[in-house]
Amino acid sequence: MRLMDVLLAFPTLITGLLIVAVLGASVTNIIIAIVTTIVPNFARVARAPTIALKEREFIEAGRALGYSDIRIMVIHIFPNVLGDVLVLASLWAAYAIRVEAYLSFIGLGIAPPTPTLGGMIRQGFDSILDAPWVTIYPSLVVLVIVFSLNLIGDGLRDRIDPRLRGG
Amino acid sequence: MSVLSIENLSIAFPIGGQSYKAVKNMTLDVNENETLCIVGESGCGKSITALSVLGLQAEVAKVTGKINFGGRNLLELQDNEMEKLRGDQISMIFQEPMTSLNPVYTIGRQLAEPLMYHKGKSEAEALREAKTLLDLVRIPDAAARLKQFPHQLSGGMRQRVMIAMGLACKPRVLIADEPTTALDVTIQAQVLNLLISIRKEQQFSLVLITHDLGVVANIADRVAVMYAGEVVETAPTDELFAAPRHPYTQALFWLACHARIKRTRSRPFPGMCRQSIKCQRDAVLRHDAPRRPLNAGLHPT
Repeated sequence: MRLMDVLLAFPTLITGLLIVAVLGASVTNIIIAIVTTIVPNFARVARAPTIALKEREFIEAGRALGYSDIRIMVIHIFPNVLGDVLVLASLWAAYAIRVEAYLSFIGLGIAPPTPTLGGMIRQGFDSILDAPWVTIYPSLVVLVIVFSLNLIGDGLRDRIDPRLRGG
Repeated sequence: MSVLSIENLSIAFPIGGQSYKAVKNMTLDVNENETLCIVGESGCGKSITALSVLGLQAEVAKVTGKINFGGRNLLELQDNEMEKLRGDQISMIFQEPMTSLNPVYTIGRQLAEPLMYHKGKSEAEALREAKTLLDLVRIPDAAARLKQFPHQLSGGMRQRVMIAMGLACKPRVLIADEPTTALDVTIQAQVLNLLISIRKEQQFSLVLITHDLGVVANIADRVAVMYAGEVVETAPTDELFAAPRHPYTQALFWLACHARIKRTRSRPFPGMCRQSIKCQRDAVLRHDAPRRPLNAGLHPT
């Protein structure tokens, strides 16, 4: 958890930049950069409800029924935390796309033959006055993806939480 | 024949560098197929005793003595051996039915889990058994209830489900820690009547922790009175109610009867809160805490 806190202290873009700069720009390294910068947020968000759930009576009832610690974690706590984490995941998936776009935009992303949204926006930027659509369309795609992912997150939450599922 | 026997059990907690005994040299037998009530005021060590039988006490607690069950001393068992025992041979139900069920699973799934886990039953088989369990605790329309989530059930229903879960694997001992305290009065009566009738139908020993003497009179075969971490009196219910021997028990009965009927002021038992570490300190400072000999009136057991 402390390691996560340390990672959380660095701004996403700076950590991302650092990792890509050190490891070099490739698809794998971009993924590593994005994961390293985003995971601490999940750890934080998952930790609070887990601690709260641990003290709930149904966990103690589970222990009284002889369930092992692993079983309680995986079968009883995890699904309860999942709702929160999934909502966050949809938000952060959108954010991950943006991070890739940032990195590509400043030239640290994936090299040109491989198309990426950020890379496409960057390329179009050179000719934005003559042909603005080259930049506008990939940007719109990013917008639509981010928006859809947020909606999916909301929908998932409603489906997962039985209290909102309706009688 | 005793199924569970507690010998010289002491449970100590470290508080402020000192070790403080919440339970002192407790000895208690639970006989086969009996209903034993443990009564006593808040903080006298009822719940922690029950938890330590299952090995669920806080990790800082130091437990010494013996808890014999099925020829083994439970305090010497490994964690995984204890896990096999819990819910299978000894079960426990808790005070708070509203939050004792996992909100993300259906009732059926939760009732089936101990059966699948301890008895290795298939899901279909376990679900079929879950339905009979709901019938056992007299929940109407069991088939439909199995598919519902805990939030769709009332408190009384949930406590019934908890009882069903506790009894799922046909344990030899069921410990109920104030199972009716969180319910309203009419539901309390229903749940208690249910416990009484299931106790008669099935073969198991019921250890009921309570501080309601009315409950005790209705349900118990035997009563153990705890005070300040010790069992001060153990007796068959009739005997105890006819002639309580220990001054604490007498005070308890006096309160339950006279104070209610005559609406007189309650007569506090002297030295009431001396089990609390803070009160102990205060009493020492004031030098005025009255004390009574604790072994004044033990029934021969």
